[in-house]
Amino acid sequence: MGNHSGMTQTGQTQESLADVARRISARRGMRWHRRPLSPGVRILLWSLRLYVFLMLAVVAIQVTRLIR
Amino acid sequence: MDFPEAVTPAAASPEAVTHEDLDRARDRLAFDQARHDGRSLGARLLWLLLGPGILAFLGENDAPSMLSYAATGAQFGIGFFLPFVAFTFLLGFIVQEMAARIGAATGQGHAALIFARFGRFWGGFAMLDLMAGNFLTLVTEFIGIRAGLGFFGVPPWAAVAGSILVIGFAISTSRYRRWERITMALALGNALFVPAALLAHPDLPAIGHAFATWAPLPGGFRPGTITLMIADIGATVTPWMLFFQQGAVVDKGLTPRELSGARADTMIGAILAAAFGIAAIIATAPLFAHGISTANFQAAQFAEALKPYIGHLGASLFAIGIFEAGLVAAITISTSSAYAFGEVTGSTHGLNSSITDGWRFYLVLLGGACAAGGLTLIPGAPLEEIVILVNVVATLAMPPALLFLIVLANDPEVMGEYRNGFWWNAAAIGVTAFMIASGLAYAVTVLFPHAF
Repeated sequence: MGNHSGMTQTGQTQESLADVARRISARRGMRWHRRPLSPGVRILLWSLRLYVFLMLAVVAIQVTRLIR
Repeated sequence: MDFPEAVTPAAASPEAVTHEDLDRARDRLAFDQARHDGRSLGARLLWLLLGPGILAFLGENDAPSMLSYAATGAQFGIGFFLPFVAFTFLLGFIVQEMAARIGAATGQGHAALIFARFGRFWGGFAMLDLMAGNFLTLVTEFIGIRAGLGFFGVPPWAAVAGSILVIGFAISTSRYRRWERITMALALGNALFVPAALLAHPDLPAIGHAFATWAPLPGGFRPGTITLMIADIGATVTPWMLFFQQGAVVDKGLTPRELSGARADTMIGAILAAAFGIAAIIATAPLFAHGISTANFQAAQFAEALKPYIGHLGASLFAIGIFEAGLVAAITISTSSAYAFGEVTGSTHGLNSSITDGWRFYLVLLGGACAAGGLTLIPGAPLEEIVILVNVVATLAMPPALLFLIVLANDPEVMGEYRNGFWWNAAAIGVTAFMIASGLAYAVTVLFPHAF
């Protein structure tokens, strides 16, 4: 942090800046484990995936009609 | 300086303090200073906090969206669609507030959290939806840029190249705050639709009547009306906005302490974007009043057709507005792709990172824009089909993105005390149900056109 002394005006600010930067760095480094998906969430995820595929087929039909 | 931690992460790896962290720390110190400065009654703090929400909403008032609004005004005039568009922005606010809250509570981007909590399989689908949608949308932004500047005789190659230079200039500062202010200044160009609307001499009692009664809707709910409704919803609520706003909240260094400011930013963005979108409808309403067919109109054709009714000045403002809408969206959408790419690959990502550290982030950002802009210069490329597709596809891809968002916003481990409450869940589930129902209604009109 001492390398960044030119960016601050007072020793107090320097300390605060370093402290805040460390907190931000720690927050950036947070990692979460994978959550277990309940059967309900799994069904919803698959249903909406199917919905997207079907809707894309519908869009393809409409575009084909428009091009013709 | 102490900011609340919303979560207890499952694991925290020791990270070295980087150039990015120092820049974010400086921004946080500026928030803190403004918070303790009682002279401006919070105005200075709000000014510093504005950005991600305004850019998400004004970025989504992009070229295809403004063309959807223009087509709406030209086909239906002043009536049902004015309150309907305002309603879609209410839906947008409900959704974007959750993205901002998750970003502030966790300090993590949307793609990173989806991959972490749902795994690679579902994360891969989310990324596929995002990247495909973003690339198609980026192409339409450059079509808008070409068309808007084409009104003034600027050749397509110059319009595309000039816009890519502007995007390059905005990111060359390697500082989120400067990028944000440059892009916000450009985004205010969206307000040009307001004087264009005023030049159309709007019938104020008719506007008041439309908002009070949600009428008239000439022709009723025909297939074309439902397609336009879907396009107008897609002009307000799309997956890239979630990834962008959450990433920008993180890049700006916001924490739960700034939640009320982040909400105000999102609300102001929604109100401004709704006002400018409605202005575009009002500006093109004279075309409806004079029975001019606007089927398959592009930006320059709208501007030309409007000349007799709002004058050369009004038409020029409309054309510049389309150009500006395309340019700002090209910047924000490229950024959302780059955030997601960086979060998933674990490479340095963020507009505070130096070009050397974040070269992959900047390469995706600028490379995507160059590829999309370049595609619009290929003779015979199916540009009109892409424009037709893009807002509809955005609407149809939204329900899965909303499911990820709602599950994350309810995840106690990730959100802690900032997770959704009952009413916000009811609103979010209502938005998702509305989006699914709109998609199904669209499918019925396509598969059974004679039923209407």
